[in-house]
Amino acid sequence: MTGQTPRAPVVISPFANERIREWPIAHYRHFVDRVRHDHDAPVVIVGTRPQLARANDLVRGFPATQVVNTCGRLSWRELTALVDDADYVVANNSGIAHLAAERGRWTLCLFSGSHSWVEWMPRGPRVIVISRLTGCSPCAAGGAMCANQLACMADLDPDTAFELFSNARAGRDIGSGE
Amino acid sequence: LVTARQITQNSIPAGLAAAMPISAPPEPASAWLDLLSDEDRRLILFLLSHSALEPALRSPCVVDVRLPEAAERAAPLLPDTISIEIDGSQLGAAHATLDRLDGEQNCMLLRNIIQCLPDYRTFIGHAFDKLAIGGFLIVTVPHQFLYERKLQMPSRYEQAHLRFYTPGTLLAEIEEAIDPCRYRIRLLADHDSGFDYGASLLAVPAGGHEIVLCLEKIAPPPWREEMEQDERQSASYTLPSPFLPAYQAEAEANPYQVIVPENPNIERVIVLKLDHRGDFMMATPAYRIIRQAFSRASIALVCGSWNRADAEALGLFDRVISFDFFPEDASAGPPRLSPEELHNAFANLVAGEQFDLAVDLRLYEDTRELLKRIDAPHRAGFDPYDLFPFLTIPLNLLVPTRDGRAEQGLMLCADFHTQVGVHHGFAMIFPERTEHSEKQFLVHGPYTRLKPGHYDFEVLLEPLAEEFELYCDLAANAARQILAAGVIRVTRDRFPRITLRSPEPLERFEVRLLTRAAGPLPPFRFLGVRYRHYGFFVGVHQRESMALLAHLVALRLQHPYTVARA
Repeated sequence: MTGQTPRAPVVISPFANERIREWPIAHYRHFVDRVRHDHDAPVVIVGTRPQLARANDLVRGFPATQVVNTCGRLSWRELTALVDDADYVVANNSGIAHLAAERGRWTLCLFSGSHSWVEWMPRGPRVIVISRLTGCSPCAAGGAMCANQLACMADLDPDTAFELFSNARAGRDIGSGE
Repeated sequence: LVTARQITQNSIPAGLAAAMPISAPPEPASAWLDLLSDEDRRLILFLLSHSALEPALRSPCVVDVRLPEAAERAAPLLPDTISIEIDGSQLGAAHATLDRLDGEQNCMLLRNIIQCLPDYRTFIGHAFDKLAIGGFLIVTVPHQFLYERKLQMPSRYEQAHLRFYTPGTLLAEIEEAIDPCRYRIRLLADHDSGFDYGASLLAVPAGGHEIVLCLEKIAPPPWREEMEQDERQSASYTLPSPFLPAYQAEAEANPYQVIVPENPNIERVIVLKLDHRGDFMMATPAYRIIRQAFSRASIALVCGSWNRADAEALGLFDRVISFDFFPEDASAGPPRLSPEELHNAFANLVAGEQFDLAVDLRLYEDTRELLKRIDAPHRAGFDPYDLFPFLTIPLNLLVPTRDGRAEQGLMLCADFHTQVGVHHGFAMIFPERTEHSEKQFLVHGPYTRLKPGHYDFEVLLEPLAEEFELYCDLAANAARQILAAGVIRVTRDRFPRITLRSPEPLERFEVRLLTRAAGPLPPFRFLGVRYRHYGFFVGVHQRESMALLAHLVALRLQHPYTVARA
């Protein structure tokens, strides 16, 4: 990344207002690794000040020059500008996904089975939503309860998500229609 | 560029080493201090003045990591030192140098170096990894408001400085680099001994001008692994329910659902509005919305032949197709053709045509099947009861007339229970004039679900001798919720009435009859409970419903998507 035109960052928002909507941090770490190696792009983690410590868990061990933790440091306006500059945005079913979709950025939304994507998925011209069709979804569990160890998110494999997103974004076939 | 140039065990004069025994707190040996620069001497004296650092500095061997420029100017900070010189930004070499240390170091000193490293995070983490449990990491950096005395980069003095530091920003980098459960902070201090606060901004700072941070490495606590899951919102999902099957075991059976953007071009639209003249007119706002949303598309309208002239006169459609699904005058009799014949006739009408979008604007379901006969990727229509899975844009609005309708009915006495009376055909008989205690249960049931709303109940009681009084209440949720209670009179001329308004659905609703007082109860019979559920008038007008569907179609197809399974 040195000596060349800097690549547009990949913005990752790994949090949501409900933990049940969050992809595990370990999956995000793996995804960040794929971004670094396959897309050779800097990664910016965004979130609020209270989410800083969990974001530190995510960035720890990654080079500070390539993976930046901005939790609690950006105003909404700065965040919007960052999203506008992003190559793409990765988020759970959360506000940043809606922001990115609304701003027309390529958006990968890792969608928890707790909610119906029909009702809540981000909408925009470049949105790709991936969810795992567990038999218990949607459960409307909201803030707390999951009897199945959050299987809808835990089983949403980061490599598969990365490949599906990359292929869908490139217009390649990704599977059969419903 | 920076390279790790040297790892050397400094040769320490034997006499001097003896003057700094490692078994006791180090004391500044004047001979050694004489070898140090003024800056380093101030720093070591500052460090030694903090008892919190005593265990660190007492370590048998301190690894002193610093920039080569600093190494050229002065001796290592302590006599028993491994000195590592890391040069600038060639991080790979710096890491390779650290790799040569084993992971059992007692004390590492990162002296005014991380401000020059682009990737402070992995370097700090790597240095920390080299410490033994109980080992110390001492980090010093130039203080933004002692050394630089500047609000913003770049540095006044060193182009190689990439960041300014305050205690807060230094600590933030440490927390990024090292798991806070793996260390305890023993010291975080501003080193300003001898600093001349009276000097001007242009003068090179004299005296201490650094931040000193000392961490002690601790073993990870046993709860560290659990911590990730132990937050309030996640606590429950870490514990599988013993009562439910684990979906995790079925992971392979759970496909991925991927929603991807689709070509937004809508060029050929077909709209169905097959009902009567009034229905056709009420759809006018919806026609206009569709025309506006797909202004460049070719729009065909299919309507009853009686509406054709009006449709053409609107000027909103590129083509008007007549199809008489209903008779023009519904009061004159049923349609001539069966639904199946009508569907086939419509299929022939649209055969060979392709559309991008098909919309059925009729609120009731009877025309919805026609959409299946149209070759279009997007099919929109009302579907309040989820009956038409082939719709890609369903709208599930309430139908006010149907969903708000009034109801009346009978809760049969067969669905009630008694321990006193006798079920006999359609009635429950209490034939004997028997003694009862006060508030003794006579009848209870039927434990049914009630929709929200306004109810009138008539308790169908008939005296078989003289008139008398009973106690009655209405309850729900296994009698946890008492909705109404009072005394009712069992008379010949009218049934007792009770009114109930419930804003929410009621589960296990029951009517209970009890004796009012102890004593003999006259004979009577119970026939059940008659109820009336009043209708309600809420929802949206037909005209508004169709406009909402048109808006929904426009909004959905602004960013159309398809759903795939992978």
